[in-house]
Amino acid sequence: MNNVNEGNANMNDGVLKTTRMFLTFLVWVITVAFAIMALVLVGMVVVGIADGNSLSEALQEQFPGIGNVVAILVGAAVASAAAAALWLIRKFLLLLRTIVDTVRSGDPFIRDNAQRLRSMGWLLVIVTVIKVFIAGMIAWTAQYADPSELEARVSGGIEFGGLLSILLLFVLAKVFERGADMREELEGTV
Amino acid sequence: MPINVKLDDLLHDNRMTLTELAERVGITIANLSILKTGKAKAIRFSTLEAICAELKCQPGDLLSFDGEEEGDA
Repeated sequence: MNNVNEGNANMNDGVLKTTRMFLTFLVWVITVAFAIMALVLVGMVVVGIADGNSLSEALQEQFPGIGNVVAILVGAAVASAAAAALWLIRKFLLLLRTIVDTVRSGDPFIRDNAQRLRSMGWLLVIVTVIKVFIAGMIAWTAQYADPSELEARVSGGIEFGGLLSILLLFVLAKVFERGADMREELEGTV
Repeated sequence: MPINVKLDDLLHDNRMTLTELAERVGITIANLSILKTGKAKAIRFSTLEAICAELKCQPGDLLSFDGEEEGDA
């Protein structure tokens, strides 16, 4: 019975190994992006406190008519939301990588993985909400932009694929729970 | 546990150790140990067959039922 599994294992390990490397790479990229976003946020706060006028002047250039304080607040809100989203995506990737590890170890049908998949589902839900929030903020500031100068496309919202992915994750969590049930049933069998 | 596994006696009669039996029937020592100590929840027919073949016994020699008879409807 073990021979069948070994055959599958050899085939799958290429996929799993590549996936794991790719995920590690993505985590690294996101961590850097998060660090940059955090620095931008800190920078905005520092400059805002130290020299609020020049910051709002710069913003007024791009978005004439927008209030000083509002401009800075919106900027800070967007930056924080983006940083939060990046952090959550990082968590998501780490959870996925851990699941991949359990598959490679040969024993993936454990309750922990069901919980991880559920967490991943919720993380995506929150990230989607943040995405809508950011898009809304940017769209809101667009009303103050000089149309001839600025060229921007704001697309952000709830995509069908994103919704499907969230549902898929919750369904998979149930699948893994059932798998864990079966595994536990099999545990005392010799 | 209501189902008793009399592996010790049979091993002794065949002058075999658990390790030797494990090698001969292709079952891990871990699993045989689980069986011996009465912690197994289920046994495959293939396992039962392999053990009986090696220890030259019947399933009834290996397993016995020790439950209290409860009044059946």
